[in-house]
Order: sequence, then C-alpha cells, then structure tokens
Amino acid sequence: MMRSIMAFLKRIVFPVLLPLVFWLGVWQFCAYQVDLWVDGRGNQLLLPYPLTVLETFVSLSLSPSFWHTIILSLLRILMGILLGCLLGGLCAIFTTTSTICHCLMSPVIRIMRATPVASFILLLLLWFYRNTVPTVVVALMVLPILWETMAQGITAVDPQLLELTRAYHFTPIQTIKILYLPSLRPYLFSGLANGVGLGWKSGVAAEVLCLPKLGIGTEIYLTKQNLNIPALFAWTIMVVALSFVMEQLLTLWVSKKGGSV
Amino acid sequence: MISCSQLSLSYGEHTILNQFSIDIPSEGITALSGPSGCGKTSLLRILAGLEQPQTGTITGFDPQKTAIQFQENRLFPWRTVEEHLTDVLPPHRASQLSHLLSLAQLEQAAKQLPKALSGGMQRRLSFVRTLALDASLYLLDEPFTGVDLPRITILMDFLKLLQLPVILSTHETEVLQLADRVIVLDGPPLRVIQVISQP
Repeated sequence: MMRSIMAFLKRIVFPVLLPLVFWLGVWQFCAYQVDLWVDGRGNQLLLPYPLTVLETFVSLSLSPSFWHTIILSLLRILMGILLGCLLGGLCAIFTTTSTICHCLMSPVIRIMRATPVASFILLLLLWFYRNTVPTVVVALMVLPILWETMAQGITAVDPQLLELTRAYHFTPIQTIKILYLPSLRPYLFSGLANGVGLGWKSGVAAEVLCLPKLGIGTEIYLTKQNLNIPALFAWTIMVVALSFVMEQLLTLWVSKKGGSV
Repeated sequence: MISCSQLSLSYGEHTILNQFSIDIPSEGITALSGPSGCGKTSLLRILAGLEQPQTGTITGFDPQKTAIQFQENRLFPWRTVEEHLTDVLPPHRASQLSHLLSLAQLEQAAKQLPKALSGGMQRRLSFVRTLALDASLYLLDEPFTGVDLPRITILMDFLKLLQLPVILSTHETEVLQLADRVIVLDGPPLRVIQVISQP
C-alpha cells in the first residue's frame, strides 16, 4: 500500500500535478494583481484568469469549426514533420555516403538553419498556395534537425557490425533492417523530440502569416484583431497540448518499432 | 591445398606479414597457435577476404565461400539468440535452427537478447552463427574464449563431423590437442615455427 502511494507520488504528483498546481497558482496570483492594479478590462486585455481561459476553451470547443480547425492544422503540421523527416533522412544518407554531396549540401542546410522562419514564410507564400505553406515551412524547419541527428547516427554505426554484414553477405535490405534501423532509432527519437516542438511553433507562425481558411494560426491572428486575449490563451494552450501529445505518440511509435536497443 | 604465397601486409611502419608463405591441407581442423599479436588474426582476415595483402597470392579455395568467426563476438544488441541464427541461415537449411541452438546449448535462451547471456554463451552463439553460414572453409578466430572444456569438446567433435576444412586460432591447449594439425607461429612479422600433424 505504502509502496503504491509512493509510486503514485513519484509518477503523477511530483512530475505532473505539483508543477501544474504551482504554475496555475502563480498565474492566478498575477491575474489577481492585474485585476487589482489595472482598472476596467485589465484582465481581458492583459492577463485573464485561468478560469476565464477554461470557460473560453469550453465555449470554443463546443463549436464544430474548432475541431475542424484543429484537425486541419494537425494534418498540415504532421505532414510537414513527416516530409522533413524523409528529406532529412535522405540528406543524411547522401551526405554521409558521398563527400561531394556533403560539400554541396552542408552549406545549404546550414543556411536553412540560420534563415529566420518569417523570411521562409513570406518567400514561400509567393511560391505556394497559402494552405500549403505551413506544411512546407514545417518540413524546412524539421529537415536540418533530422539531417544532423540521422547523419550522426549513420556515422556512429558500429564499424565491426558493419564489417560483419559484409563478411556474412547480408543483402542491402538485411543490412538496413538488422543494423541501420535499430542503430538509428535513438537518433530518430532525439530528432523527433526536437523536431515536433519546432514543427508546431513554425507551423502555427506560418498560419498566422499565411492565414489559411481554417487553421489555429488564423484563429490566433483573429484573437489579436478582436483583442480576445482569453481566446489567445485557449488556442495557445491547445497548441502546446497537441505538440506534447504528438511528441509522445511519435516517440512511442519510434520506440516500439524494432524492439529495444 | 590452401596455398598462401609471398604474402606481405603492413600498416605504416608496422609489418605484420613479410613474404609469408604457407600450405594448409584443405581438410580437417588446422589450429594456428602463437603469441598474441603475432599476426594470426591478420592471416585469417586475409583468407576471409577482409584484408588485402600488399603482395602475394592465395589459391586453393573460393574466398566468397568462407565464413569467419571474428575475435570479438559482434552480436547485435537488439537481436535475439534465435534471430542471430535465422538472419544468416540459408532458406534450405532453415530446419537446422533447433539443432544449432542445441549444439550451443542455447535452447532455453532462444528468445533472449545478448545482454542477458554470459560471456561463454555469447561466444557459443557467435560460433554457431558462423556455422550457420553456407561455406566451404570455416575460419575461427579464438572460437572458444570463455567456453568451458566439456563444451569445447562437443563443439570440436561437431567441427570434425562437418568434413569441411576449418582453420582456427587458439591459445587453449585442449583445442590444440583436438585439432588434426597444429601450426606454431611467431611474429610479427608472422613466421612458421613448426607444423605438427596429429593422429
């Protein structure tokens, strides 16, 4: 009994509930101070109470367009992440297997990493449909991260095992399945963990600037237009929650594929 | 007869083989004995086609049909014992899986990962994995390190039953006694000190 209580405290209370309650308390306190010191619509314009945000969230979630908006943004960002993973993986293969490819592609990818996301968004807005831009932006943001981690993974593959696959006449497919994929899994895990967060940030930023017909970024832009700060908080919390859930699901999927390392 | 003629191999200024020649009968078990670092592993790696000598020729076997057991176990940390064997067993010998597991006395550990095995079990797995390969010449580099004597005897008896040429390097006197012939080496550079044929 005592052991299960301790386990509950260690797994749920300390890592989840305690910080949640603490930071909600800090938020409530700050909102109260704003309410106290700023007259009129201080809470509505500067910092709403947590309960006001919850009410806004519930009222938003009762509208069917809320879920439609979320699904469309989710699909755009997920497709961007997958595209970024695919292209990043291909870049990693090319740059680790060919010196010429490494020389040619490394500067391009380094420039991509340093280019402000806003520049990408505005440029891509000229080249692509506004609904497609967030997906492309997410892919371009995720690509360098996956490229770097996967390239690290490919170069870190155990040379003795690699020699064994040659000596034992493994087919290329066998070598990929038995050696490369399991060796790369921790690197893919790490790349995805970083890529998903960045994907959501850049994807929503792209939606704010591109204003697709339905999108979380469009809704966030409208909250600014209407000075609806509780709705801005509600949408932001939704983005954070979605990013967290997607990161957990993708890492769970990666960790289940190919057994344990 | 497996003939190595005038083989030379060096890494920088470190000469491993210098115009080394040897004839090894292509039948039975040939044990290579010599001090650590004398060049036994390099000779086995050349025979397996993993190292290219700077000079010399090798004749008497098909390098594509050799199977080498490395000095290290080289097991995949994420593959089970059984998978290590099925990965290399040719389809027409798939039914030999249980026999190989039983030979290595690893039936109970078939679903285990290498990290769950002792050093001796890992070495036995590495040994039977090499035997699972289709080959006309088996090259075994210190195959019985960490394996106890009764099991060494069983595995050596199995090697004799194969009726295929086996060249192994070893330090264990028990293995040397069970081999058909022993080639005593010294080096580097590698040289033959004595060839002992045993009944």
